[in-house]
Amino acid sequence: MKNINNRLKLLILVTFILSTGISQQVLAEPMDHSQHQGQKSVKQAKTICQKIAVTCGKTVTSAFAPNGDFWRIWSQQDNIYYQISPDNGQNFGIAKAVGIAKEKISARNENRPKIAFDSKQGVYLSWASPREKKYTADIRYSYSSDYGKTFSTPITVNDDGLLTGHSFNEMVVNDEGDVSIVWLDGRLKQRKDAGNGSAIFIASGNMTKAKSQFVNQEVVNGTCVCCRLAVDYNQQGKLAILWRHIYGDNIREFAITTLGEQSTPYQVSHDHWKINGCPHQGGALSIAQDNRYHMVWYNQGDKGKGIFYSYSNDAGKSLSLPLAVGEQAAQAAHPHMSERKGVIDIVWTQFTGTEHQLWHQQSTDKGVTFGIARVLATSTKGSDRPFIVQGQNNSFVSWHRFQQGHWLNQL
Amino acid sequence: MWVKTLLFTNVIFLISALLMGTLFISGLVQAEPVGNSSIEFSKIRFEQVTQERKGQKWLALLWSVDCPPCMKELALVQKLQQKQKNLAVVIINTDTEESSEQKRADIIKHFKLMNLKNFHFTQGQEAQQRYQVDPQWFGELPRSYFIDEQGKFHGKSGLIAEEFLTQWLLIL
Repeated sequence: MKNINNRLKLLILVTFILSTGISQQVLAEPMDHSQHQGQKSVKQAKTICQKIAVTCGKTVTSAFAPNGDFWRIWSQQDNIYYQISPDNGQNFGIAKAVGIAKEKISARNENRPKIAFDSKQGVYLSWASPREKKYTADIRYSYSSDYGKTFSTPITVNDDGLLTGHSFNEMVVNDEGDVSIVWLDGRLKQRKDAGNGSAIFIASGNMTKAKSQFVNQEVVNGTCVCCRLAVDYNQQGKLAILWRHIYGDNIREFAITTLGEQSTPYQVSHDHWKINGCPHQGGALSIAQDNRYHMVWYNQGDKGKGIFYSYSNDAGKSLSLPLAVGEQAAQAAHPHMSERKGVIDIVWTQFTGTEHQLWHQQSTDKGVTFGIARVLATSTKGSDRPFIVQGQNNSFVSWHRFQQGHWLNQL
Repeated sequence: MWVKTLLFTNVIFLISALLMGTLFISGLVQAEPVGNSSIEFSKIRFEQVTQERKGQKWLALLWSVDCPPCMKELALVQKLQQKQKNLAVVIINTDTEESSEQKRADIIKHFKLMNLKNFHFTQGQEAQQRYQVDPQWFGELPRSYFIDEQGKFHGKSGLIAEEFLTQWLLIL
């Protein structure tokens, strides 16, 4: 009996060790063997992300406030959370929820909340909130006049009252608190003569001057339905918008317009990407003090594949010869750029099959020539789009990596 | 007696554990479908499907819940399915957010595509899995792969014309 008991104990021990060993082996499988732990990985991710932390955010949006604070926001559990860093992203205060009622918030890929500041303690938020029907959402907006302590009850910016698409919002705010929000809008699809794709609408207001009504205006019709917009003020204070337009039979090329300065948009790219689909890749625009428009975009056309950079001295009417950026064979994609005092920084991601890489290339002569491209950071657990954000004295790159965290680095 | 029973149970458990472990490691055990309509994508599972379908023409269709043209292509597949049962189509959803899970299930149900092989990508591994399908695909959607009898993949981005899909999928 004692012998049996000993054997039983041994057996239980062996069973325990083996079963534990197997579990560990399964958990320790590399990414390529994820099929074994697929269900586990999802469950683990969900478990980890019960806490409120930026690592749980799928995407992060960030910006510097006029006082030099760095803010980052992300969406989690139908809230927008924010954290403030006083030292360029080295340390952050605790994560706080924006004090508004919970609602659904689009925060993936190209479509995510936006944050901006004025010079009077104003903090501005804008996001798309999905509605009950597929591809429908409203553009939402909330404002804080006390540097985030309290936020206004959110309002819906789109004024059509239609259950249709309103998303891919971008927002700019100047020091005086003039807010402009642009977005992709599906309301024109309701018309019988509706063309292909979406339309761009704009609404402007100023909370500090009691112009809280966002009057909607159509900018252009026939745009791609699933790529972000890019906006910047030019030196005349006019807002320029860069987007992916639909030309002819689903030729997706970038186009630009400067509001109040032209009646017809200029075509920017000529890569001939014919696709009746979703590229999920918008461009970036940054206008310099000399009014030179700097742009990057991504295409997969039969005349142009990959990332391209170009500048224009006449608001996009004519462009410099597009410069190919990144390694097309290494999956170079998702470019962003920003100009600061004649220095152009371009960032993008590449992918080796197992590792995401954040790349950077810089021009110090207003975009005429560029230095060599270099890797800034890597990730193995997913990659958000990288963005360049402007601090008081320097440019920074902001890159979020799923479960790995948000990363800010001076360029 | 109880000792014997315990011993017997334990031996069975040990054998099961070893067997399950071996099967897990060799990749033969498939996880339970999520939402009864879609299973998690993996390179090995996709290769298995490719092997199983060798010698026949089939279509791998990749889609996302926020891609309107994808819905049109799914609707076309639904239409062809009404004409021919056992359509040679494998559907792969590229969404991985929790918020997309229900939408994915609803869409598959809406287009009545539950009887087709449905995969979905894994959170945090979207790029890896995209790369496993095709290193030359950058994520634009819908993405259709026409796989010929020799198992060769022919990738095409954007909504496919109904005529072409019909020719490829229907045995006329």
